[in-house]
Amino acid sequence: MTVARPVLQVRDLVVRYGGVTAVDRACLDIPAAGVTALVGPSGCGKTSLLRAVAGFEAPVAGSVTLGDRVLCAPGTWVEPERREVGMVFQEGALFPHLTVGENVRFGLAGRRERERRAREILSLVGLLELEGRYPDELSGGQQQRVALARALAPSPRLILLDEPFAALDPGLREQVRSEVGQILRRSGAAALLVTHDQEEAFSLAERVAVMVDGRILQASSPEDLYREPASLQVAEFIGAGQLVGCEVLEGRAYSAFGETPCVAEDGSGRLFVRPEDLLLCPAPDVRGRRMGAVVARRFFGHDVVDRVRMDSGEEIEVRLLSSSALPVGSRVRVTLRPGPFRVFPPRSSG
Amino acid sequence: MGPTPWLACAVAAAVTLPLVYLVVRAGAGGGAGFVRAVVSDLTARLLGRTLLLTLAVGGASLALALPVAWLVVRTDLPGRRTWAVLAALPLVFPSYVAAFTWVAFFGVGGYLDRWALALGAPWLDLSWLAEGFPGALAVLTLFSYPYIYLLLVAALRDVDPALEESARSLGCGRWRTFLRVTVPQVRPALSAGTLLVVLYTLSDFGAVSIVRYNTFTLAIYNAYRGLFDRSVAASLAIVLVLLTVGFIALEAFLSRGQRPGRVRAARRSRPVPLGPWRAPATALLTLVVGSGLALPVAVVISWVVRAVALGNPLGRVGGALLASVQVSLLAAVAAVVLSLPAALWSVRQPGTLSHLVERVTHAGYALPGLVVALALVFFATRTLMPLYQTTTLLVAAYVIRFLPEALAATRSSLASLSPVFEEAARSLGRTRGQVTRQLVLPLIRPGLLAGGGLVFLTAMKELPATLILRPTGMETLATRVWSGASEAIWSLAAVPSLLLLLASAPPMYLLVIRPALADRRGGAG
Repeated sequence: MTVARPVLQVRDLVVRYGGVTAVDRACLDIPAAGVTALVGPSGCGKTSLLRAVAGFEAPVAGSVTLGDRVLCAPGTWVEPERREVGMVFQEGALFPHLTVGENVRFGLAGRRERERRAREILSLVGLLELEGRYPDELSGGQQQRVALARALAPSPRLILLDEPFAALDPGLREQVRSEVGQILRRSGAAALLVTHDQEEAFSLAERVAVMVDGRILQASSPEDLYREPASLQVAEFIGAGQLVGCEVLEGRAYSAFGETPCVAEDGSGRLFVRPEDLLLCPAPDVRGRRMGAVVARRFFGHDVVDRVRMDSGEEIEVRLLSSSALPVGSRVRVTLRPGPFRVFPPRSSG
Repeated sequence: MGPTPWLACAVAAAVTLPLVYLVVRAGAGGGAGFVRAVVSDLTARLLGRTLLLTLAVGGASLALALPVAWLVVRTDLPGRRTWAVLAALPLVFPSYVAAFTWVAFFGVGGYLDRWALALGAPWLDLSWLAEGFPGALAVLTLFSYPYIYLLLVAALRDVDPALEESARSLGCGRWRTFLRVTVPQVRPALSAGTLLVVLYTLSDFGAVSIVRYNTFTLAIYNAYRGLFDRSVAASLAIVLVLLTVGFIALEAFLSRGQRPGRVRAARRSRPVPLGPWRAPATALLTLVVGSGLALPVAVVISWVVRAVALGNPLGRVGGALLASVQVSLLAAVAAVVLSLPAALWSVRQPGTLSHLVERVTHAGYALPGLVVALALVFFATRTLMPLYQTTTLLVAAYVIRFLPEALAATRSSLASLSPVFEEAARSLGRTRGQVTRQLVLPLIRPGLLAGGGLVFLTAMKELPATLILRPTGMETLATRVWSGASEAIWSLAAVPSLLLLLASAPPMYLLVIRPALADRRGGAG
């Protein structure tokens, strides 16, 4: 989980509200540039972690270090206004009584420098022409871009974004998301984005940290996270995985879908299979091993997800290109892609 | 178009007619007479004194309401929910009851004075605090600041914490964030609340007459009582009306261009830890609640005990109680009934005209009670002499003054009633009139009762119009408190004060304080 020369280091952070532990000994490193996403189901403590980094929550234990400056540790506390950490809130939180320009200049000092920097940053987000408008005259997407500009203006070392797209219309969300991603990359600032939407995390971030029940379970590139989930919880949160009962013998897992290499102890286990890990091919109308029938289909345009009921009784979902899909009801033979696959322990111990 | 608009227009006309007579009366001595009465040393002095008091009370109330509201909403002050209610309770004291208790405690011959004598501690004599300007300032501030406080509590709760957190992360400290971000968000509440306090001070007669600080209201009253030429009183009353209108216009001017803030915050701010400031904060609230609530209650109760011990005739208070209840009940019923046409019209057929009529009907609220009373006197002596010195005229004054309270309640309960019910009933074959009687009235009855209750409560407490318009020999609780207090016969003032408090405190709490303090987000978030 470590990063070479991280800008932010969170160590064993604990945040409690009354008796409830929201963040439980969380550790996280943020690289000095690029976007890191913190994903997790709602209530997992990701927003609390973000707010503790910003200085809006006081952790009961652990430390937060930005660069070589300790922001909070036992006996040390830096007030939010002295942290050099920018924050973008869910609904922008633009000051309603100030214009766009005044909002962006809010965190800047020095009259001439303020003007220059505000114009520079407004052109970066492409909203220079809206400088004199008030926030209630902007669309939701424009408000978020101004909020980002306002947070970037004082050149903070780290930008925190708390579900910044959640309040936007779904149609607009995609577009604002990619704009914000580009702006963040052009600004060169390190960013930590909190979201409950793993698709958003994957599309925007170079690095994704998964948080469940107050703990960071894994932090790595989206590809690694998807291919090599460190635990069942991560695998399940990242989604669309299926667990298939199997028997492991000498590095090979045997299941209803055939045998495949794996890394696991001998004995029973659960094979982690994603819908795109399976192949379907037409099969004769005879019952047999690894044979079944397509019983239902969800159509997504470019691809489809077919539900296949095996002759042995199991059901499994298979994602395939819609151009190569067989009609619903077809008899099929199921094949696993070449392994290796992850095998998790059986349910009782996991 | 049914009869509703015509009725609404008739009510609006009836409410404004007396004012017209006030202008006529002031001009009776010719325009020159009005100018002579107004442009004089007396008026200039009154204007100076009234403005001084009004601005001082407005400023002091603001300075008191802001920290108190902030402490109970935004900090970890121990017992802040209880403090929040206690800090609003001075509102239940009519200004003359407050002034009476203030004088009976601090004034010459009051408790403190006698303790100072008994203990041989002359420094305990704070009688200057109960006379003239300091007395008026202290009483009016302590007992009217809750108007700002209540609005501010709601506004402070509704400020989105993300705004303040944004300011902090942009490098602003706590104090600068408060000034640059929080205060602008609650400015509408601050200016609306301050306007209420200013109008309360301008129209106050009870407190200024008891502590003997001569403002417009007291001068108008004395001119009316003492001089044969009543056009002087009328002229001064018109200046007072202009002053009132001036302040309303000023507030409107200052609030122009206000940007709409976001309506409600999704979450609540984290309470600011007071740390070592906990003790001073508790001391401030103890001082405010002590002098605005505990002290007056204690003074009233101790004088009631002494009045009973002195064998002071309680029987005569019974008559005053009966009279108060009678006229206030009449006023409440009349105000609710008369509010119906304007409310129905403006809710069901919103438009420029119905809006205007509704606004006109509200005019009485901004007018000092004394002015309404004078206007009615002039109106009655000119056109309806038989009404002069009857309870009808008194009830009319109450209705003109307090119709807006009933109208607001009626209007909001009508507005919350979906027109779908009425349309359903109409489609089931009921006529418009039947729908109103069988469906609308039963459904809005709680709102009507609340509005009527509020009118009843404020009419019970009304003093200046009662003093001028009551039939000879009639005493209400308010007039008895006032005459007892202004002659410093405190045992006379105590029992009616207690009755007024007992009658007005529960409805004041239920109808005004509790709804204002209610956390609209509900529950703990």
